Amino acid sequence: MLENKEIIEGCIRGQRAAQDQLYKRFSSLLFGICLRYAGNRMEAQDVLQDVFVKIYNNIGSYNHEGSFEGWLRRIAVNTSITNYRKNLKHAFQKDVDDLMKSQEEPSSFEDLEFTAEEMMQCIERMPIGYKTIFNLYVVEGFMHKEIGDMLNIDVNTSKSQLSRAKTYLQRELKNIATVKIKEHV
Amino acid sequence: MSEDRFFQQVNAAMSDYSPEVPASVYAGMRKKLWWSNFTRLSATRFNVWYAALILTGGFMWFTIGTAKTGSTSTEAVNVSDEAIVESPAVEPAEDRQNQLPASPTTPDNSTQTASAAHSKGAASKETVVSTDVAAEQSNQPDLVGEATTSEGQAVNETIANQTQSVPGKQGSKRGLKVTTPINSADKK
Repeated sequence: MLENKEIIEGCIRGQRAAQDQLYKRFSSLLFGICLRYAGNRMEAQDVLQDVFVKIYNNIGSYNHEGSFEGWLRRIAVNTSITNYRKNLKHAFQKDVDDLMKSQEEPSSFEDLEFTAEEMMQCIERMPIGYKTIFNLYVVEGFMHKEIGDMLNIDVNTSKSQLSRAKTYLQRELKNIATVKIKEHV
Repeated sequence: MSEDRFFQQVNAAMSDYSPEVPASVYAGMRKKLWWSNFTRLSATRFNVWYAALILTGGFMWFTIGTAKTGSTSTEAVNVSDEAIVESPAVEPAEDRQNQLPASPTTPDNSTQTASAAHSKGAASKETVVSTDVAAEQSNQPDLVGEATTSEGQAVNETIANQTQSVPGKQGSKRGLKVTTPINSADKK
């Protein structure tokens, strides 16, 4: 099993074996990131391919100071945002009825726990505008100001989109919990 | 559920989410990587810049080659033009029309002599024929000369002489087979 450092050096030299090792080790993790941002699985696969092409072409610029996994994650997020910008005309669009529904505060489900798959199902169904801001804020830990700069939107837009995304996700999770409880009974 | 707690729950669930990647993604990634490397400027590997260089060189070579061929063909055309220009100066249009029936004798005679020289079997008859026709051929410039000098009666005389100089008719009169060497030359 090669260490990350050996893989990086092999990739810098353009060795195919090292590139394959890197792909095997990190493709699943990066695919999870792409899935969270992309509109569907096909789009996520396309973004993942672009992510690896960027990694192989720019791996020489990795300075070994920070975490290598963090560097890879950052490339995946940036590529996903670039892809999101390409499809920007589809973002922040939602039916009025759907928006009114999403404003309803769901009843609490504090004791319920959800798997990553279940959460991912809900996130995948989320409108791409909500999804992007929710992922950047909740999972990646960016601030609203940074998100606004990244996506060229106002800070308040980012906040309102996050609020709606949260409400939407909670409602979806509640539906899943209701189905679970019915199945259990 | 407070906002922070909900976000923490989502963060914990999603941060290490690693779904299985379809196998087709790897092949697609390899293709994209190849194309990316091909379009990048690099001195160490074959890329689009080398391909462009080769194509440009090939195009230049083809263009220069075509230009050279074009210049030689132009010269050939010029030569033929001169020949065309010179020929009416020697022979007027009327004379050329008058010579048309007699004109097959000239090339036929040359082929007859050539074929007679090469063939051994019918050498005796064919040499006789060829000498006769050659003698007639030697008379032809005189006919043309007459036609060019005098217009009225001379033209009629040349027509009469040319009808006599047709090889088929002559051969039939003298009982010689003139057509045999012509056919053999045509076959060759």
